[in-house]
Parts: sequence; structure tokens; C-alpha cells
Amino acid sequence: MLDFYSASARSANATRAVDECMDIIFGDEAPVDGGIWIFNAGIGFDVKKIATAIRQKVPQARILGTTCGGVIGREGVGEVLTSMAIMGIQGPETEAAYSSVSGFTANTSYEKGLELAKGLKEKLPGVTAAYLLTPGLDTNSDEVLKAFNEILPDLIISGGLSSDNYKGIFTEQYVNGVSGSSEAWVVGFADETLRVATRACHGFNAYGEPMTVTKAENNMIIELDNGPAWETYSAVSGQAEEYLKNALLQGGMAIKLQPELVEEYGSDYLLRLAVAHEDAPDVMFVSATIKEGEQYYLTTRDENRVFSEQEKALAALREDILSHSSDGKVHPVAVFQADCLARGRTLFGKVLKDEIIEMIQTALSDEGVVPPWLGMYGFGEYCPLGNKNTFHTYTTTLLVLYR
Amino acid sequence: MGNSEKEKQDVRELRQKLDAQIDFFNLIHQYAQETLCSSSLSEMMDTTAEGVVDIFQVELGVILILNVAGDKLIITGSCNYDDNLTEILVSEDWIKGSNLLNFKHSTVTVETPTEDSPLAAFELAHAMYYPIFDNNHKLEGIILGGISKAKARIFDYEQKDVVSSFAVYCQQMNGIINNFYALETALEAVKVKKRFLSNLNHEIRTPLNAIIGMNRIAMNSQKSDEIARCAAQIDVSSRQLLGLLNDALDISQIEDGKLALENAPFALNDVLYEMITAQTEHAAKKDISITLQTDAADNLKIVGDSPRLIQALTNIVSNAVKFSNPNSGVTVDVRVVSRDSQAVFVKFAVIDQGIGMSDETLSGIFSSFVQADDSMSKKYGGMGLGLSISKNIVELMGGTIQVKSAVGAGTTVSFDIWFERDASDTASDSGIVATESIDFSRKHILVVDDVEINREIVAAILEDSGATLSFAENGTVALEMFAASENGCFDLILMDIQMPIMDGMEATRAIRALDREDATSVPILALTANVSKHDVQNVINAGMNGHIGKPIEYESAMSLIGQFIK
Repeated sequence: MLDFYSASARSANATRAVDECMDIIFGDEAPVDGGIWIFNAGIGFDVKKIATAIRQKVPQARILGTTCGGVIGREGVGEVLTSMAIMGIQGPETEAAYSSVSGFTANTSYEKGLELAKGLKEKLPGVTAAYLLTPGLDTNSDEVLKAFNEILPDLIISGGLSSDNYKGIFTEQYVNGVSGSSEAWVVGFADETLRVATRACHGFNAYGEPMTVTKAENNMIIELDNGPAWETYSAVSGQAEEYLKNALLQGGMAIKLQPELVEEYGSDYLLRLAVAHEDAPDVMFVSATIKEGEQYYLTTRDENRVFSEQEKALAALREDILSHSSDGKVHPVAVFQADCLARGRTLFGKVLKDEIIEMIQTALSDEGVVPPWLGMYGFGEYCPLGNKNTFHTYTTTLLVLYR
Repeated sequence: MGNSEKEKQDVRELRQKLDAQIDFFNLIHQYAQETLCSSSLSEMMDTTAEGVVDIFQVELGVILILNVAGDKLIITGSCNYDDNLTEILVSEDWIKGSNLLNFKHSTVTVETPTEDSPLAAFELAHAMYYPIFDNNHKLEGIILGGISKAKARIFDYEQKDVVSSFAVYCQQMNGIINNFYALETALEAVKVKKRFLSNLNHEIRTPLNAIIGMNRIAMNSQKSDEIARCAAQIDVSSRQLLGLLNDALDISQIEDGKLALENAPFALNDVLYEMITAQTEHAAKKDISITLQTDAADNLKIVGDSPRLIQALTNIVSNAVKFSNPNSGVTVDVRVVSRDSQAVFVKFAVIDQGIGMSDETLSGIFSSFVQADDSMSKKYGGMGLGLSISKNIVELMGGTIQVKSAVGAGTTVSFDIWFERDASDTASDSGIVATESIDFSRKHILVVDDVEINREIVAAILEDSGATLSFAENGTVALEMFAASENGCFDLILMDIQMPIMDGMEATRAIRALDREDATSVPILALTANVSKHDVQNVINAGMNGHIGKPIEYESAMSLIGQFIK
């Protein structure tokens, strides 16, 4: 039976940050050695120093990590470059294991996805749920999910894409001594005592006439409406091309969702985040497969909807959990969250996430106690939608493990 | 949005803004607390650097402290700076040009360091730094925050957002750093004193062991030459012990602010030759020569505390000998660098070609109980008091002491002192009586001491002088003997102070109060182990004529006795 531990801290010193987390988790007692330890960290950290600090406390730990634009722990959010959160997973290796690959890019997402899935299946044949982390700036998420579906068709996948401080310049993933921008990893759970609940939701509206993809390749939109992609998008949105390319979260586009998924998702559209790359300045890079003929809409953020749809999603999640509860209460043992910076309350032109995170954590607390919690703001999120593992952006995704 | 809704939004935004400000000050407070919990100066500096990174969200934080010479900035704390650089050279021009010296109007400097800036070594795209000052408002160093060229694209950096708060943080930390320095200094003093006590134990036991051992050999020996050799060694070891004791007492007086000078005329060159002569024998054992170079005229007579001057010079010269290599030389250079009819300005320098010292060692050598490091005391012996005593003596004389040294290149210790010129032409008027001319035959001396062996020592010292000795074991007996004697029977009384029944002070007062002619004229000299200036003053106040310290220095004791015996 698996045990979960989590904590978050803020410090410019990796050792001090990890020590604070370990103090929160274990207090005066010695840390439990071994297990899988996952960290999410702001880019102000050297990820290897975090790993070293964890290993000093937990010598036998298998350590996975990522950079991100913000962290979420049971203590709340941390959005500075020196924020970090960790989650420890302790138990038999037959109930929790990880698989990892190097050389993961948008072009290799399928084959590396197969490698990841096969590795996980080999270590954990009975795996039922997984937390997946892939590179933030060079991933084709549809391809990696396709690969997992072939090897582990019943696996519930949640997780996300790593990120930086929303500059879109550099992300780093860490796997047991190796760090880089093309590492990917997945942690699987096969604890028979655990149940799994997931939910994804967002709060954006689509508007205007759609732009049609007239030329595409893998995860790249090369042309929209027969014109260079960014130029067309700029003309339709009325915003300067350079602004759109540099302001990372401004490149949002919506594609229509199948009608049967609308109710669950709280939106008629699935969103895609497009980013620019200096090597191909006219091309829009998206972390999903792009097909010619697809139609994309401009989007606008709807703050009221962000909150109202989140409430609905949480109610559905609680209902799901309570339907298996013997005492009419929710008893989550761990929550993994992948989120988008843009979801929250806007003040001073900045989105503040404290309110929405508090709302989520309150809904999933066990008699007022927030369970072990590891979250991050990424460049995309994985979560089932309509019982199918799906890639999202501008979304809150939750993987709740409960008993 | 309606008016009331807008007002609500405004209030919400204002509250949020205030919360952000409070969060910021909380962070500064938090880092202030963390630095105060540091267990060492380096930990405190690192925490201060971490605060720069964490609060202002820059890539690296560095604390740079100026060295003593003011030409290097030493990296004493850092966060996210892993290069091997430990110090950077700085020029006076850069310090002045960077407006770092203006204590009252300190400002944050924001720049991209150019190639001619010492901060160019950090390869920063953005740098902001603020001066920190010591408690005397002297520039101590800078607190630096920065973003490297390599990561400039990743970090958000809005200068206007952080500059004013960075100044607040640096000012706060400046105060803490200075307080921490003071605390470290105090703690170090405690540690040093502990080391000193351990050292003292060793330094005392070594000669004591020689005394006991040699004494045992002498007692069992029938050979006169062997006994003489033992006696000589006992003499050397006893003097070592006495030196240690005197040094310790001097330091105690210095620390209490009670060390005072006793000025008298003396011939400068006589004192210098006396000091050199005393040191030459010891130096010769290491094949080290001591050379005196002086341009002072032999008949130059000045007013000062010559024993203390000798002490100051002796400490410096013996240190130079101690740390010199065999077959090398120590030079004592004395120059009269200025003179008028009333005073002369004399520069003393002791130059050796010994092991020398690093900058770090130099900064502490004048502190009491400090030696270059612990290994020094083990290798070279000593308690680390000498230079501290010398410094204090020189300063009491109105001078200043300086030291220049480099590892492997020797050391020069120098000091300058103004002396008054003596009006007389003779340098021999020191009150010292030549011991060769002493003849106490037909003189009657009453020796008062409660310890039999002390009475025997006095008897041995006076044995060849021809004096007749009577003995009393306490003040009461002495008073009775004096009162029962004929007028003028005793030519001098040597009076111990601490004795049972009646102590020496009381006995002296009682003798002086007797109604007889010689009661006030008989010379009474204190013969005591109480040797502080205060003790001397007390015995004089009690009616005694002089003071002889124990252990008894034969020549000075005989000289003093000779002065008073008519």
C-alpha cells in the first residue's frame, strides 16, 4: 500500500528549500528512505542541486523533477523563481514505478512514448494510473498519448508539460542524475487499494470566424487561410505579430470539441497554445498534432466561467469519489495537479491563483485536511476527457488518488 | 461595471497592493531572522546573498568585502555563484567613481558592468549593488545582485520595481552584518582565551618540569660541576616562569587599563645595548645574529619608562629571533628622526628575514593571546602575549606600532615615540648602585618572613655582603624585636607583607608609631610577591621606603638595599 508525502517551500538555496520540505513532512523524525520523489521547481533553481539535497535526506530515493512557472503544494501556490514543491511516494516497487526516456522531441514523441509505456508496463504490469511529464517546448502530446494507448489502453494518464517562467525559452526535466530539455518520465500506480478520479476543465470562449489550417506538418501550423501562420493570426486578432510571438499566453486558439464532451469539459472548444520559434519565425508551434483542414478560433478568457466551470468540475469529482465512499466522505490520499497560469483572478493585469487553488483544495480536503499535493503550472496538461486520455492547454487537470 | 462594483474592485486591488507590500517586508524580516540564526559569519553572508536572489528574483547574489589594503573585494557569501573566483581586484578610482563612499547618501548602482569594471568578472547583463559600511562609516564592501548574460533572456528584470526595496534590504543587512561581526569578535576572543589557558598550562609546566627535574638531579649529585649545570638550568627555567608571570600580569593590567608608566631619565643607547646584550646569548644558540644600528648620540638622554621600553623591544626582538631561520640576522634599527631642544622623535624598527606572515595573520597579531595559528604555539612556544604588550606599551608612550610582512619574506615591526629630552648631561644617574661596591659589614638587617625557606634565601643573598642578620617569623615578633632592641640597632628591615598573626603593613605602621628615635628613620623595604603598581603604592603608604619583588632579582635587590643602608 502506497504512502504519499508532500510539501512546498520558497528559498534561493536548494538545500534549504529541500530541508524545509523535509521538516514539514517528517518533523523531528528521520525521513523514510527510498521511494520515488518528484519535485517541481521554479527556474531560479539548479535542478541538480535540488536532487542532491533530496538524496542527502533520502539516499535511496529515485528522483524525478521538472522546472515550471509555478508550483502548487498543500501549503498553497508558489509563483516566484525560487519556489519548489515535492511529493514522496513510498511503498513496494510492485505498486509504484517510473519509466523515463531521453531524446524526447515533437518528432520522436510517438517512438519515445512507446518506450515510456513499455518501460512502465514492464516494471508495473498492473498499472492503472500514471502521472506523465514531457518537455514543455518540443512535444507532440497527441503522439505520446497514441503510443501509450497502444501499449496500455486502459491506463488513466494525467500530468503535463514542463515550463519555464512563461518566457518559452527553456525547460528542464530531471531523471535520476540526468537533466535536460529532452527528458521525459512517467510514474505509474498499481496499488489495488487506490481508486482514481480525474477531471479537466477550463474557462475560455471562442469567437469570430475560424481560421483554416491550409498547410501543416506534425505539430506545426505553417499556413492559416493560405497565408503565413503568424501573419494571418495577427491580422485576424488585430494584435501585432511580435507581441503575439513574445507574449506566450496570447497565442491561444480554439478547436471545436465533439458535442458529447462539451458537458464534461464545460466548453465547446479545446484550446491549443501556439508558440514561436526563432528558427522558423513564420510557423506556429503547437504541442499536438495539427491536421490540414482543421479550423481554429480566436479565444477570450472568461473569468467568471473559469470559476463556475471549476466549481462544476469539483462537484462532479466529489460525486465520483463519494459514489465509492463507505462513510459519505472524501478521503483523497494524494492529488497531482497540472494547471495553467492564466486560470485565476485578474488583478493589476496579473492572474492570481490563490483563490481558485484554495477552492480546489477545500473541495478535495479530507475533513479540512488538504491531502499530499503536487502541482505545477505547465505549458500543457494531460487528463482524460470522455474516458480518453487527452492533451489540454489553459486547463486545470486533477488526478485524485483516494481510498 | 457599475460604480459600486468599481469601488469594490478598487478596494480589492488596493488591499492586494498592500498585501504585496506587507509580503515584501515580511520577506526582509524573514531573512533578517534567518541571518541572525546563522552559526558562522560565512553562513550569515550566504543567507544574505540568498535573500538577494529570493526577494528580488535575480539569478545570483554575492557579498563582497574589501580587504584590509582596500585593493581587493573578497567573496564572503554567495548564492548561485559557483565559479572558482574568490576575490576581485578593485582600484581606488573605481570605488570613488562608483559613488560607494557616500555614507549619508548611499544609492543603488544599476549597470551592465563594462570591461574595465571589477564586476566584469561576473559576466553580468544586469548588476545592482549597494555599499555596506562598518560602524565607523568606513566602506566595508558591497551587496551585489545580478543576472548573467547567459540567462538574461529568462529572468524578468524591472529595475524600477526593485531598486528602492534593494536599498532597504541592504541597509537592514548592513546593520546585521556589523552586529554579527561584533558577536564573532567576542566569540573569537572567548575561544582565543580558552586556547591561551591551554597554552599557559603547557608553557608553565615546561620550565617547572625542568626546575623540578634539575633540582632532583642536583640533590642526588655529588659532583660540583653537575650541580652547577643544574643550578644554571634552574635559573634559566625560573626566569622563563617569571617572564610568563610578568607577561600575564601585564596583560591583566592592560585589560583593566591599569598599566602605567614610570618616567625617569635614561640614556637611550645604554638601554638599547642592555636589551641587545640580553637577547644575544639566546639568539646565538640559534646561530642568529642581532645587529644594532643607531644614530642616536651616546650622550642622548631622554625621559621615559626605560624598563617598559626594554620590555617592548625585547618582546619584538625575541619574536623576530623565534621566527627567524638559523644563520640569519635580526636588525634593530633606531633613528632619531626629529629633535628640538625639548624632545626627540625616535623611530625603532626590528627587521628579520624569518617566515613572515599572511595578510590574514597580520590582522590579529596584536590581539592578546593570539598567535599566527594554533600550530605556531606548538612549534615555536609562547603564549602570544608579547606583541600585544609591546603595542600597549608603545601606545601608552604615545607612539604607534606597525608591522609589514609577507610569507617567506620576513617581518618588520616598527614604532615611533616622542621622548622628552633630559636636562642633565649624564646618563648614569639612574639610582643604580654597583653591586661590586656593596659592603654591609657591621650592618644589622632584620629579615621578617613567615616562610623559613624565604628567610634562608635572603640569608644566602646577603651572605657575602658581611651584614648581620636577625630573623622574625611574623609582624608581632618583628615589632617585639625592634621594640626590645637598642636605638639604631637595626640598619634596615626587610618586611614580608602576607604573614600570619600580624602582616607586614600592620607591623610597619606599628614600628613607625613607636616612640623612639629610629622608629621613623629605619629603612623598611617590602619583600613581597605582591608586585603590582598598586601593591607598591600600598607599601609606601604604609610607611615603607621601598619594594623588592619576589622572586628576588639579586642585583636590583642589592642595589636597593645599598641605597638605603647608610
